[in-house]
Amino acid sequence: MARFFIGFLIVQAVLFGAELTPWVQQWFVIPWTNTLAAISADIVKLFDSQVIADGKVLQSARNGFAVSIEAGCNGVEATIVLVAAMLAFPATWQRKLGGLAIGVVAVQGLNVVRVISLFYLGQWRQDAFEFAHQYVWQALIMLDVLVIWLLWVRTLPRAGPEPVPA
Amino acid sequence: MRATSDTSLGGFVLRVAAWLVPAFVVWYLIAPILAWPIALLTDAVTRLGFADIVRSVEQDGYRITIVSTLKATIATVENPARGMVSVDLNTRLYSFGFPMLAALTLAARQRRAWRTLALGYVILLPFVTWGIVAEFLKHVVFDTTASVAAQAGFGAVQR
Repeated sequence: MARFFIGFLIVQAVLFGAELTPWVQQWFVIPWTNTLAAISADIVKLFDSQVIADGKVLQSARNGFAVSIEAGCNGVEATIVLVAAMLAFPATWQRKLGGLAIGVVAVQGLNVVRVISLFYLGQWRQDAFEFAHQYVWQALIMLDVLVIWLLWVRTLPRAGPEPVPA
Repeated sequence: MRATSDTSLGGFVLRVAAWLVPAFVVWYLIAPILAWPIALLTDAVTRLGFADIVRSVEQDGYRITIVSTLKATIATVENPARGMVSVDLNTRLYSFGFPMLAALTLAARQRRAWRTLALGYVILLPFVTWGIVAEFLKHVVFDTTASVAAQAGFGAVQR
């Protein structure tokens, strides 16, 4: 348990530190955020053609309301927490990589829901947008990470008792 | 006939989701009370670590204002600097983990849940304080004018 917790903290420190560097921002975080905005816009366009994605900004052509996907809203931090939890937990690399592939998609899937819901909440009521943006969705995304990690842990084979030498 | 168990992960997640709503409501309403220890801890931390740039820490409801010793403008004979830089901080921004902790703890249906909740609150306090103090420092170093940052000991290269 202590080994897992220390490993979890170390991997997080390394990844959060890397996230702050200009190189990672330029080559990973910004393209990731722009892709998230584009995917959100593509989904919204299925039922609302009046939406435009420009870089990390999602805008309504109808009323001009726009949301800009900033750090903390692009799901990168939540993904880092999930990656750290899976890498630090004792499992085979095959299990870890499989869990990460599904887990990252699941976190980002909910994050797309967050972006789209905030886009419409903001057009409806500013105070509801602020509450959901600053508090509720932050908690829900972290809860999502916890649930994904718990589900993944449950798929791992239980460690049996040590074989007794004959 | 098989006995059913409510210890499934799905059941737990549903209970967490159900508890999350009242937990958020209660947390939002009692935020000024929850912020009181955060203000005390912030005051203690800034006195210990940043006594040279922090004059006082004041609580107003769920908000904390850190009043610095830094002057807001460059003083000249014609324009004497009188205002001090103060940073208004929202404790709710850093404590949304409290309702999540409450929902998780109550959904786990363990004995002594309230004791666990109180213990969790105490354990989370330093992390919330960390966020508050870090935002204050970020504001002083990066979000103010170069002259204010220079008073805090940060030059242009460090910004």
